[in-house]
Amino acid sequence: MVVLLVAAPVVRSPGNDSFPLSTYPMFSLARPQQTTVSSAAGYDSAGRRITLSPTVVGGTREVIQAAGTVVQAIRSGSSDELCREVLDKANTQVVAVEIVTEVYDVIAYFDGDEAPVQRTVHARCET
Amino acid sequence: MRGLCRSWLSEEAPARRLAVVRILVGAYAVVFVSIRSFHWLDLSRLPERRYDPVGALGWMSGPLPSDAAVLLSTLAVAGAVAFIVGWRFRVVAPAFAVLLLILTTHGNSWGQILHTENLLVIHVLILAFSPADAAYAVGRRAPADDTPGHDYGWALRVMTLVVVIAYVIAGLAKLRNGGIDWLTGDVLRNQIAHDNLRKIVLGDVHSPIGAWLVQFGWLFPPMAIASVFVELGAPLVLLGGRWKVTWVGAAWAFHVGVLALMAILFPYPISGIAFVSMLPVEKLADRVTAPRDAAGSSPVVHDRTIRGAR
Repeated sequence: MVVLLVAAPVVRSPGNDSFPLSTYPMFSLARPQQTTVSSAAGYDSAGRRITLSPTVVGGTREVIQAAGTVVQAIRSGSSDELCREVLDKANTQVVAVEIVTEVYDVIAYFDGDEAPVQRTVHARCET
Repeated sequence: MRGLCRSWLSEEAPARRLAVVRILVGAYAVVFVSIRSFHWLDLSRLPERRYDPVGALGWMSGPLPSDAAVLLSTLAVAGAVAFIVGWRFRVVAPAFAVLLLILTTHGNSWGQILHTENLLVIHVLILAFSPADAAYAVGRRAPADDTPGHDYGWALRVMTLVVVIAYVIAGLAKLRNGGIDWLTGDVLRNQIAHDNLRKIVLGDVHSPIGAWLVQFGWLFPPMAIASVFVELGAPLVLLGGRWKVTWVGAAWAFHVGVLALMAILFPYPISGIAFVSMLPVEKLADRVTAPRDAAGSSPVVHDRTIRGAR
C-alpha cells in the first residue's frame, strides 16, 4: 500500500507536485540559456540596488520561500500589496521597492555580462 | 506469487537492525524538528492569503494559528525523543508520525514545495507502524530469539523501496520534462547557472564552484548522464551485496555534487540516514555495547533494553 502510494505520482505530470507524495520535479525543467528570475528589489536614495533579506521579502529565513512569495504575488495580481509590505519591513536605507521579473542570459552572466536582457516591473512603491 | 511478493516487498532482518534504524531516524528527526520549528513558526505569522495548502492539508482553507504551530512543534520535539527511546511506541510513534506529517505539509503549503523532507516523513510513518520497538526500547525487553525474520524486515524493505521509487521518479521527471536534451545538451549547465544566478539575485549563498564550472560546457553532458544513471539505477539496491553498497555510495556522491555545484543541501541523504534501512546498522549498536558485554555482566548478547542496559 505504502509502496503504491509513493509510486503513484509517476502517473502525474511532473509539474503537478504535492507533499509528501512528490513528482520530484526539481532540476528537471529544460531551462534555456535565457532564464527568468522574479524578485523584490530595494533601492537607496541614490538609486543603487540593495539586496533584501528573505525575512523582509517572504517573512521567513528561507530564500526559496521568499522567491516563491514573489512569484505567487505576481501570479495572483497582488504585487502592489507585496511591494508595500516589503517596503514597510525593509530598513530605513531602502527608499523604494520594485517587484520585478528579469530575464538573464545565464552563461553570459557568469562570463561577466551581468545586466538582464529584459526587465518587467510589476509594482513600484516608494517611501 | 506470494513468495515472489515476499522476496521483493520484505526481507529477513534482526529486530536489533530495525530498532537501530528507528534510533537513527529518530535522532535525525529530533534535530530536524528542533531546527525547523523556527521556520514553521515564521510561516504561521505570514498573511493568510499566501497559504496554498497541499497534500493531506488540501482541505484546510486557512493556516494553523501561530499558537497551534508552537504547541504542535513542541509536541513534535517531545514525540521525536519518545520515538528514539521507544517509549510507549505503539501509541506515541504513530502520533508523532502524524504530527510530523501535519507540520511538514503545513510548512510546504506556502507556495513552495521543498523536496528535502519527503523521505524523512514517509520513513517515520513506516517505522511508526512497525515493531521497531522490539529492541533497545524503554520498558521492553528484546525478544529472546534475535534470528533475522520478516517480522522486522518488511519495514526496512518498504523504507528502501520508498527511497528507490523517489529516485526513479526524480530521474524520470528529468527525462519527461527535459527529454533526451537533459542528457546530451546544455540543460544541466543552464540549470546550475540558473540556480546560482537566482541565489545571487536573491541574496542567498551560491556555489562559486558551480558558477566557475559553467564556462566549461563539455563537462555537463557526462555529469547529466551520471546523475540520471544514479537516479534510474536505484533499483540496483534490491540486488543486494555490492550493488547495494555501490549505489548508496553513488547516491551519496550525487548529493555531495549537488551541494558543491548548487549549494543545495539535502541533509537526509547527505547524513546517510536516508540509506540506513539498506545497511546492517545493528553493528553500530554492537560496537556501542561490546565493551560493556566484554566486561562480562551477562553472556546473553541479544537480551538488551535501554533501561536494562548493562
